[in-house]
This record gives sequence, C-alpha cells and structure tokens, in this order.
Amino acid sequence: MVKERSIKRIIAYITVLVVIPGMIVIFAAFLPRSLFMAVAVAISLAAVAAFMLGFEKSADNASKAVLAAVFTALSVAGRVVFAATPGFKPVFSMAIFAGMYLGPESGFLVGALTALLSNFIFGQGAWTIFQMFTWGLIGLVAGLLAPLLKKNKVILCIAGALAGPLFSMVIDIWSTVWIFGSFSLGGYLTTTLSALPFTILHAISNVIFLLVLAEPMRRTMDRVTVKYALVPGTANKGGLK
Amino acid sequence: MHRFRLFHPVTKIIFFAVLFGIAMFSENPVIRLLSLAGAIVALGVSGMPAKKLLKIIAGGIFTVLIMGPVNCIISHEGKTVLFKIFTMKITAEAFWFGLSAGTMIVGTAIWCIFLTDETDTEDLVFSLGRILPGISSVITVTLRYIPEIIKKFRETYTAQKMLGVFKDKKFFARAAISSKIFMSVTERSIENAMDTAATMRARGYGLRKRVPSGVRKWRNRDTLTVILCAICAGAFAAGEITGSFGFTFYPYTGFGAIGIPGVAMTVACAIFFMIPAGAEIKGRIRWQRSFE
Repeated sequence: MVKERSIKRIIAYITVLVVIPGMIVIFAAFLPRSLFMAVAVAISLAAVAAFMLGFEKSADNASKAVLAAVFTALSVAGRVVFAATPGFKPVFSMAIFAGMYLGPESGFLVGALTALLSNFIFGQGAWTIFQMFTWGLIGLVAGLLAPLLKKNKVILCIAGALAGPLFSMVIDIWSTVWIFGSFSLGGYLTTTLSALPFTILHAISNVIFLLVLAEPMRRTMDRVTVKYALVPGTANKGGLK
Repeated sequence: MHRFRLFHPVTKIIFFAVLFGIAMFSENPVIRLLSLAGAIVALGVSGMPAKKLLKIIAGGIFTVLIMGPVNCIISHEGKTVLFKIFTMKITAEAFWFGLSAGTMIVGTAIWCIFLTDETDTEDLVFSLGRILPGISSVITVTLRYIPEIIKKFRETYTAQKMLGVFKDKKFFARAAISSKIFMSVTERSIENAMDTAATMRARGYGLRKRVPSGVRKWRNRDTLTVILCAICAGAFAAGEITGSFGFTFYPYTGFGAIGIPGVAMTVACAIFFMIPAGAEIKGRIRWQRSFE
C-alpha cells in the first residue's frame, strides 16, 4: 500500500516536473494559437487540480492545513506590502520555505494559492492559471530538494536565484503566443528581453529574502516542530503526516 | 452598481469561462471588437469613475496602435508588401494581424478588470466548499490572516522607521531591513497558527459529514444567464468547427464565406458580451421604478 502510494507520487512528480512543461513547449511550437491556449490552460489547470485533490486527502490534519494557510497568507501579504517595489517580493521564498518545511504537496499548494488569492488584488486573468502552476512548481521542487536546501545555504540561494528566471521562462512562452499569435524564437526573445529587468530583480530579491529569512525560519520551524510535536510519524499528536 | 456581483458564483464561473474562451481563442476581428466593446460598456455601467475608464480606454487605444507596427517587425508573413527595411518585408497582413491581436489583448485585459471587480473571495470559498472543503478551509484561514499580517507588518515597519532605522539607507539596505521586519511577523504568525490549529482540533475540525455554508441562492437570472452561455458557446463552437465565419490574415487578409450561421454566431456573441451591462441596466430600471 505504502509502495503503491509512493509510486503514484513519483509518477505525479514526473508528470508535473517533466511531462507538462515539455508538453507546453512542444504545443507552443507546433499548435496554432487558439488551440495552444486551450490545451495549455487545460493541462495547467489539471495539474493544479490534481495537487489540490492530493492535498485535500490530508487536509484533515489541522496543523498541516493551518501552516499551509499561514505560509500562503505571508506570501500574499508579502506581495501586498512590497507592492511599491515591483519584482522585489517574498513570494518565491515563501513557496520555497513551504516546500522545504511542509513538504512538496504543501509547497505546490502555497505557490498556487498565492497566485490565485493575490490576483484578487493585483488582477485576475488567464495568466493566473500559469502563475499558479509555475509558483506551485517552485514550491514542489523546493520540497523535493528539501534535505539539500536545508543543509547548504549556498545551494538554497542558487535555487532561489534560478527560480526567478524559471518563472519568467515558463510565463513568457504563454505571453509570446498570446501577444504574437504563434510561438517564434524572435517573439520569445522579445518577450524575455522586455521582462529581463524584472527577471534579474526577481533573482536578486529571492537571494536577499532567502539569505535573511533562512536562519530565523529554520529556528522557528525547528522550535515549532519540537514544541507542538510536528515530527513525521506523530500524527496522533497533531503532527504532520 | 455591481449587479453582476450578486449573481450565483457558479453562474459567474460559467460566464467567465465561456467569455475568456471566446475572447481569447477567436481569431475573428469582429468578435474581438464586440468583446472589447462589451468589456468597455460593462465597466462603464458598473459604476467605474469616468476618469478611470477614460484612462483605461486611452491605454487600450495606445496598445492596439502599437501592436500593429510591433507585429510587422516580428512577423514578415503576408503577400502585400508595404515597404522594406533593409531586407525586412513590412506587410499589410502583419499590420492587420497586430491590430487585431492588440484588440484581443486589450479586450481580455478589460474583461479581467471587470472580473476582479465583480468577483470576490467569497465566491471562491463558496465554489470550492462543496468540491474541496479542505482547500476551502485553508483559503478561509488564509483570508483571515492576510489583513492581520499586513497590519502587524505596517505597525512594526512604522515603529522601526520612527526609530530611524531606514535613515540614509540605499534601496537594497532598506529592502534587507524590511525583510527582517517581515521575518519577525512570520515568526509571530507561525506561533499563532499552531494555537489556531489546536483550537480547530478542539472544535472538531476534520470530522466527517461537514457541510459548507453559503448565502448565495440560485435565481431565475442565473438560469437565464447559463442558458445564454450555453447557446453562445454552442454557436461559437459550431462556427469554429464548420468555419462558417472564418477569417484569415495570411497570406491575404479577409473573411471567408459568411453564411447565415456566421451572422447568427456574431449576433449570439454580441448578446452574450452585453449580459453584464444588461443586468446592470435592468437592475437600475427596476430600482428607479420602485420609487414611482
């Protein structure tokens, strides 16, 4: 049963990390605009829905649900309070921390919900689904690399610095097709270059937030884990499963 | 004002799904223009200040006009060469395509403003409450925390500012101090969250057979809107599949064969795009009549 569950989980991770981004790139290159948009929205939505359903099964654990809510709230609030400095926001770092300390599924959920809820303030649109997917992906990867990221601050900062360009690269595929009608390398480069200052700022802000927050966050989460018995395997005490 | 906000959340989901489906996926410039017009009228009658609306329209016109030349530089498809820049062909078809794409972008963007104005997180919680109650709970708790965190951050930030912590500091130094303040709020929030979780457990969180609550009721207007959505989506899909109202940009710009189905599809889309404005106008008339 446990083995079957972990196989299912591995298949889900491979699908989200490799198959879906691969499909989006291939579809962007070969499908006409209208069809690409429909397919890209559908598969991104399906991926987000699948992870939400996965989280739903374990949402009866109050500690896990509330911690995911707090990380999402911090991320949304961070996007609001840092609204005056475009590109400089703690959204990526909170998704990374959620993945590291709450697990890959919660990391994905925090990233996805941040996009959904903060866009009620910053504006909803078709891009919301792609933002949900991409931020979720960042939380998921952080969760999978958690042991490595917790151990080494340099790797954590590199991961944070790469998260900004990764976000831009995925979103720009969609932006290119939306603006220019079809995917072309010229159009993609135009879109990517026009967003370059923000991409760089994303990378810098991620590194700053991760550097400043990493140690206090580790301390807080360690303390909370001990104080409230949130050690894996102590679910009967309200711990994370 | 904002009468579309009173519609049932499920109706709004269906309406916006069909709307974005048509507004974004149709390549027909007439449909794109109708979408843009519908979006502007919807925003106008829903109570947006005229000055703000005019600003949006001016920005929209600028975007549409800029998209024509930009697309000419990116795309060199089309047979009607207007002129050449070195060896680069500037074609009329690419220009028209750019204008049409700009219309779609602006139309969709204005509909997005309308969507943000007319929907709220209550719709989200209501819709998800039945399908994903756990996620719905997470969202509810998140929404409770967001204003609290922002308030606490602002309080701490102001206190630090008054103490002169930010004085003579450059952008990144200020940002680093802000990050530290953010961390102090984070620590406090996580501690509080554990107390909240304990309270939730004590009150029976996680018990089976929970039922979602909601004050939204399904009304006749919702049934009518859903029927209109279904008709319009059907007409649009039929038109796209049969190509009865096709439009091509390349190699030459022009309409395909326009038949009765094509005209019917356009009329259906025009009515559909006017649903929010119609709801608003109907509500106002009813309100006025109630005084007579």
